[in-house]
Amino acid sequence: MSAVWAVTRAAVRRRKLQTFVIGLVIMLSSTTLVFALGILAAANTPFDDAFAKAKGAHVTAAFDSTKVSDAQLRGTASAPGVTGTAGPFPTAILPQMDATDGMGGFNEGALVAGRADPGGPVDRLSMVAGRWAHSPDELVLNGGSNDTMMIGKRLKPATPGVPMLTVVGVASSATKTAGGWVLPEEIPALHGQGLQMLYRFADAGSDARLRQELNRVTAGLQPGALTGGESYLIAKRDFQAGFDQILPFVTIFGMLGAVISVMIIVNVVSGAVVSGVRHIGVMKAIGFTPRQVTSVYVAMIGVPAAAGCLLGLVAGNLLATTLVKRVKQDFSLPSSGGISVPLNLLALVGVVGAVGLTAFLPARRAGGLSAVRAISPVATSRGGRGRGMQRRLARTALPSPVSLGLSLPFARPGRTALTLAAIGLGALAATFGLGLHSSVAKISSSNGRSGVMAFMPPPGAASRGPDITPGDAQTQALLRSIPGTAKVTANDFHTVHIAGVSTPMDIDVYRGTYPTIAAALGTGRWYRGAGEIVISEGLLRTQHYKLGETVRLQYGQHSTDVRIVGTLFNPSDHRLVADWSTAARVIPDLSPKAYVLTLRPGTDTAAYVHAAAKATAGTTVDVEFSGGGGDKIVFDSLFFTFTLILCLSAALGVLNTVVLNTRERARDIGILKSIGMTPRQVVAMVLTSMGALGVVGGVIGVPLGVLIHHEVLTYTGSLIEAGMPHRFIAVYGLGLLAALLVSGPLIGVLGALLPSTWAARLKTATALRSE
Amino acid sequence: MVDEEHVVRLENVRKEYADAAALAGVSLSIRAGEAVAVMGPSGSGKSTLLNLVAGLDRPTEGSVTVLGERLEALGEGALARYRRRRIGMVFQFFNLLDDLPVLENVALSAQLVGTSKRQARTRAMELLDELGIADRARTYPGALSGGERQRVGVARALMNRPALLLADEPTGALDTKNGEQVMDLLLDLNQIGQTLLLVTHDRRLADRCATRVIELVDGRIADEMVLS
Repeated sequence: MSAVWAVTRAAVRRRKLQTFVIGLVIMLSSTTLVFALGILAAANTPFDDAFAKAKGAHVTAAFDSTKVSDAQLRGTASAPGVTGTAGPFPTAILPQMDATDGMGGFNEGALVAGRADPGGPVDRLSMVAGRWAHSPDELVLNGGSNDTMMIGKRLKPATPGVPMLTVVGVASSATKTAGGWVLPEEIPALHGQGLQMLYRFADAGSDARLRQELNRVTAGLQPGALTGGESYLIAKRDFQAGFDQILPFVTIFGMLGAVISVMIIVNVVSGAVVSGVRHIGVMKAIGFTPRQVTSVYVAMIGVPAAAGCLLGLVAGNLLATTLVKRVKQDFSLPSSGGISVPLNLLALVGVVGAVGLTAFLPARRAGGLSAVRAISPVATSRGGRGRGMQRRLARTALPSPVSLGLSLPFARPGRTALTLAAIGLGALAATFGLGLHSSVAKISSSNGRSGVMAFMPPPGAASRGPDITPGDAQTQALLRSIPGTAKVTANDFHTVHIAGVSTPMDIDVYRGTYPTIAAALGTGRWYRGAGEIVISEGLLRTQHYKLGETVRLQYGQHSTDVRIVGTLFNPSDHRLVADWSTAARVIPDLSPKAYVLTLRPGTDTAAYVHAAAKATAGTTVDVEFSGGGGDKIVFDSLFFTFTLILCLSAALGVLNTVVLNTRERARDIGILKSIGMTPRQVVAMVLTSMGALGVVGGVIGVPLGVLIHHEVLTYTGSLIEAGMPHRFIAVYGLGLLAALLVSGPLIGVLGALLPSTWAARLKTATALRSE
Repeated sequence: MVDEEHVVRLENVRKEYADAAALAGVSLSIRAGEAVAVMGPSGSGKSTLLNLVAGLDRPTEGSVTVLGERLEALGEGALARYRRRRIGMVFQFFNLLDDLPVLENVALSAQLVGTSKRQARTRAMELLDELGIADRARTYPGALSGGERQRVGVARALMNRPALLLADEPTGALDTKNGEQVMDLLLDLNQIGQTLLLVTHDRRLADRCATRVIELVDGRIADEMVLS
């Protein structure tokens, strides 16, 4: 084995470029794989991690305190199958609570539970900020880092007889067992009549099983004592739903990465075999067995591959951890985390297995090569492949470096095919990635209330010192006076009902429309006046409505018939959008809660918001930029990373091919230089060969990228049950397509640039001596 | 059965490539201590004969027995082991491993038979010293002259003290001076009992080093001459 190792070590040391390319390609592949696997696994693991760490409740059960005692509920803890309990905690339903400064609060119906501390055997709460309640009038909100601004605010109830509460902290529960927590002694003051028990069961595999377990445990209680029970699987599904929209993208990128990597590895390894034929022959002639030769070639690939794989694992974990951390923050999950060991092992085995298998086949070919053929200078001639094409191209009017460059790819059809495929996939990845970027930008900008908004304080909210609240007309005039304002659209939102549908509907009411909401139209058309309504795609599907159908809107005692004229690209099953004139028929107390501000093209958003703050000083009007772009940034960084990795891998494949070609054709290059070819012409010849391949790769890869983009977005639309409007898919304009077509030759030329200069610098005398 | 007197025995050996016969029924024996030179024009089958004796190729018909082993009956692994232990080969174009320095190139053969790295290097250094190129031990083959490379090739061939040394045009790529040095080297080796099988175009090499010259024409032995 020492002889095998000696030869391997020398080969790795002396072929630095090949070793570097292999290591880098494997590193990029491993990064892609771990990143993709990390994201895929993140659909489960962050929730599972957080749930396990917090000893989350499998079932959050609600009881009527008039029908069951604390002692009876404590008794359920010893029932068979129960592995842990917390509670009973007294609960209350809060009335509407508004912050005294008019910013934030609770809608009516939020559940608060009385807990003495955030710990306990089940549902351990993770403090995000602030502290736990020390006195009865203190409240800890359930939320994430975005809710910490609520700390210190006083919440005033809309109903008399309920005490004011001060927010002292923000905590998060893995399954969101309550909207907030107070000390248990505060619950009677909040008119609480409920009790909450949190259970963990030995068998918690499905909703049905959990229902059975809960019924069994509470079977001995008075009928009606159990008023509800929520499975942790609902929270888990909510979390996973957020990932559904990125899964197809990640899967496609992961697959592309794997395919490109395998092709480049095949190219690199088989290239190493071809260029090492004489080396193999010598080894066999002095007594290396076929198995030893195979071992040398597998090890030559294995050493840099192992190093690349380890580095890739680190990089992939860093990328995945960063992304998953952001997602966790978005979902207000308790902190957990760390790196998934099984995931890394899976990636390691996957990459090493793929490399091993990919390397083994050409290495075995090396082991089986005839030593006589390998060491005979005559027998290693490659025959006349490519010479026919060279002859034909030589007869054309093309300059010699160009015609010679164009004929080069024909000399090694197998290697050319692999290089072409790598470039094509690189162009495909660039097309797909840029398309996704455009689609997400369009989807994001059409996401309802985003952009610059002016918010009004809720009616009846306590006034902020001397600030005045202007009326509707005054506010509009004030907002129009801000430089850069193109349009001011009044907005109000309420909860209404559709006759025959039990789910309450969130209705967004606009005075007219504005460009970004108009862009969110899925099917049909936008409303043109009174009596017309646009509903979310999810609502259309779940209620089996059809465009043109008339439904009855109800608000308290008022109702009106409206016709569905279009759908909104939105998976929600309870969202409506209507014109002011339509809503006014059914909602008598319609009054603008906000104004959507459409800015003139070219207006700087930050400067505008700054100017607006000055213009509205002394009033209760708040102008804010609610970007809604968090997802977009996450998506964009994801697409950008994948696209860059894949294009870089493709360029490395080209670099490797040019290095191999140059090494093989050193003598030809020497002859060309000896008869007068300048170094610049050598560079031109090599760049032409790869540029030509790049053109073909682009012509193949770009349409495929457009096609895959179309299919993936359509599939994503069906996955999130919101459909996918055509204009979100049709993002490739002629300019973009033309730019993308350049990506193929660009990958080819960039990959070939460095080795082409090495070829140009080749010493003629040395090259002519090479056999 | 081991024939102790004959190191090499070829019986009616035919070797065909596509539809052409490189060897057309050659029978030949070489005794221990002999230095046999095989001569002939290009395409006469000289290199094919050498490759068959080296176990790098297999006969289409007939048998090749070296030191009692019938080579055509051996598998690839066994042939590799045969090459390591029984023979040493010297090539016209040296066939050194460009990735390894001279010392490692020479020591590698011994390492293949299980000799420890330290012992292999010591022996390699001795050989390089004997051949007058010890000062080039750390140099890579690409930086050596043709004569130096061939001496490295001879050192490598001798590493495992082979019973049979095969040389394929050992002076073919060398200038006169370096060619002379290699001839002297082979002559010295034969004089201390090393069995040699040389393939060459070079009449001077044959006259100087060989005890017997075999002339091949069109894959057949056309003439055989014993030299004093």
